[in-house]
Amino acid sequence: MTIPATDERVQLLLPSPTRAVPPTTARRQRRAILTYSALWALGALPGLLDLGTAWTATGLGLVLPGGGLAYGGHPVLALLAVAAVVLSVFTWWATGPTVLPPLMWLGSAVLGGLVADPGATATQVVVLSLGPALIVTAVGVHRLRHVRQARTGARLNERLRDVEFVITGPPGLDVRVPVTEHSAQDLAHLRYALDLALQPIDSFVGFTKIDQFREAATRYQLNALGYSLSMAQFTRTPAFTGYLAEGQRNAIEKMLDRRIWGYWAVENAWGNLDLDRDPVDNSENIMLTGFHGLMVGMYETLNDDRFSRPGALTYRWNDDVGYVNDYGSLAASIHRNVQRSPYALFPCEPNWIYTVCNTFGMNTMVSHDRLHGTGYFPAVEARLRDSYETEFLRPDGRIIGVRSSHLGLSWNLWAGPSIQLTTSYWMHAALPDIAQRTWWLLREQELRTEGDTVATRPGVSARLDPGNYQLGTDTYSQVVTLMAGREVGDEDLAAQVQRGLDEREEVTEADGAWRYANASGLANLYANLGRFGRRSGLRDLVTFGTPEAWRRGPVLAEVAYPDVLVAKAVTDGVALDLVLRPGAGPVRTVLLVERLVPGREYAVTGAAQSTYVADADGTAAIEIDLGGRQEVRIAPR
Amino acid sequence: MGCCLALAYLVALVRRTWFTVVPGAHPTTAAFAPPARRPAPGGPALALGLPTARLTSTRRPAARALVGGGLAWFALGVVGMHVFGWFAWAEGSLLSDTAFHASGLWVAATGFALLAVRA
Repeated sequence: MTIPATDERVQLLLPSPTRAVPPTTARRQRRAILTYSALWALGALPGLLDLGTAWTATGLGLVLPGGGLAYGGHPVLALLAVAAVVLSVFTWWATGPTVLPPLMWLGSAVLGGLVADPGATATQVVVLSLGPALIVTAVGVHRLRHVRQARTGARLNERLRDVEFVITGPPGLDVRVPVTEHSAQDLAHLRYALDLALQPIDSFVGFTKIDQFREAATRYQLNALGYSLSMAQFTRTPAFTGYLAEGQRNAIEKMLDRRIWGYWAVENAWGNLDLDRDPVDNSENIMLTGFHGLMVGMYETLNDDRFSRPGALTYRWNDDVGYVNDYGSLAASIHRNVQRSPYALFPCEPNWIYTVCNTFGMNTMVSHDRLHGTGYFPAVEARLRDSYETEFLRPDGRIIGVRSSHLGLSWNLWAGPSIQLTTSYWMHAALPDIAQRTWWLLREQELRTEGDTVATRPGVSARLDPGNYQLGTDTYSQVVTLMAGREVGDEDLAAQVQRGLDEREEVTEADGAWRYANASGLANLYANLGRFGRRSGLRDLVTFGTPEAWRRGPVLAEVAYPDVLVAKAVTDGVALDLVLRPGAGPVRTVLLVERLVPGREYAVTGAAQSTYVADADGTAAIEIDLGGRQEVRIAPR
Repeated sequence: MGCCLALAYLVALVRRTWFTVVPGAHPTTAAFAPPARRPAPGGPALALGLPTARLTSTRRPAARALVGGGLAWFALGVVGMHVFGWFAWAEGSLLSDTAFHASGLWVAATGFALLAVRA
């Protein structure tokens, strides 16, 4: 990975495709078509050899779901069989049971054989023709669409030749305004996340609980919780560990609970026919390893390396069985799976490769490389980039959200603006040029400013909250627009979206914590991630880490919650500057400051005493009276 | 996350149909976690009597629901019993009659009290 020393300007045109289907996908699709051809031939044989009604119907059922039932004079059952197979494919897609569609298909074929009455030759011919006709039609439609998309891509490239994307280099203390102050409103939204994170490790009160397989799964809420707390620390209070770091640790440790990761045992069993429950040592499940790894990478960048110690991330099944891992083993497993996968990108659920999920894997490798000196990402970067630009990109620049690794299939529904927005955000750390080109395309084609609101083009996903599967609100869509716009530096648009959210969304309050009332927990937590973000916030946190001064300067290590809300905490390496607010009324309380120079005298403003001498262990307990917004400065005398 | 929005859309359609068709089924909503507490280093923080601008919201959905629901129940009880005769069972004695009508007022009063205390 080439890391620029300063900001760089680059151009990135859309690749001009030389073929309608990219190479790895083409191989998978050829294999799938050959397999179907063999099945077709097998299914056609009984009829051609005149083996009788039952065998002919069974064979036709293999050729086409419901084919034998249609041939045998049961059109309603035939339609039901088609519906059942479609439903089984939907379930396969949703939760990974690979065996379900073949079982349903085979079952309907057997049923067709059992109930068949002598059928007409015309029906037999229609059934035998339909499968190949569908394949030929699909190929034809794809080629027509490809030509149209290639024309669009060529048009866009004419404009992209005049566009330069700024790839940001390492931030310094004096660039990109690294640390800003939480407003009172920011702190109220932060408290929603802190209350979730600071409950006991085995408690999940306040999380949406619908299922553990899809978008509403608790693990995704925990991921968003960890990321948003880390981003708050990075951009607002890097010199505050205390309960903010504890909240991040708790989110990471909650992921080890079997109720959170145990879905994999089920998915691996029915998706891969493999009873191994190990959530890490396998060739898939990047939806756990990549997402969890990034939580740890962010935490370790800002705090300490406890999760890199052997066994620190042990996924426990029961008292006797646990899968011993750490940050290093998560990153290594992602690297190994990328190397092994023909696509470079590898699946989440068995068989299904998602482009967004793989950005989390890249981010885990990039942050691990920086923190531990490994070379995981550079070793696979070229293959990943090539795959994102060929196998998972339409000629018109839209990222393809999902592809079946077995069949090579994807579908157009999967290239909507929400996919582009989320990918643009999460890709900005590792492949910033593609991320920025994706954002540019969104601005050109999808995002519309209407008065004081920003909206995506109406579509299936624009009014969906995936965190609770509720329709009718565009809050989530606004949230991901906020995240991506802010990250790539389109701050005017991001600020407009943030204003829109704050003014239009109903807010509900509990004990000083605020959340958007009509949005899921997931949407609220990602709204916090967007709220606390800044230009290249994710990229800086993942790719470059923290400045040296932040790693050695004094920190606010312990303080009462919610009595003391930390709105800003930053160090230049020797002094500590704080902005504090009361969270539960006026209070006299103590701040514990660490990493001072032992025995050194410090001048303190905003506290009960004007001077303190650091203890032998470099700590000082500083008493303050807090009645409103208060600045505290601790500097060597 | 965010990778599977079209599937989530299909799930949403199924769920919406379910909640429409099945009486009593309600979509799951996320709420707040219990308020967390962490002590100050070396002991609890000491509350001071200083005035402070505390962050508050004017929205109290639970309390407002109690007020609205209580008043609605009271009105429904009066109209239902004395106009339509729906609640004849509660007219059996003065005690049951009073308890029936007062239940809505008590719920509304609780809501009012919560609004007043938390404002």
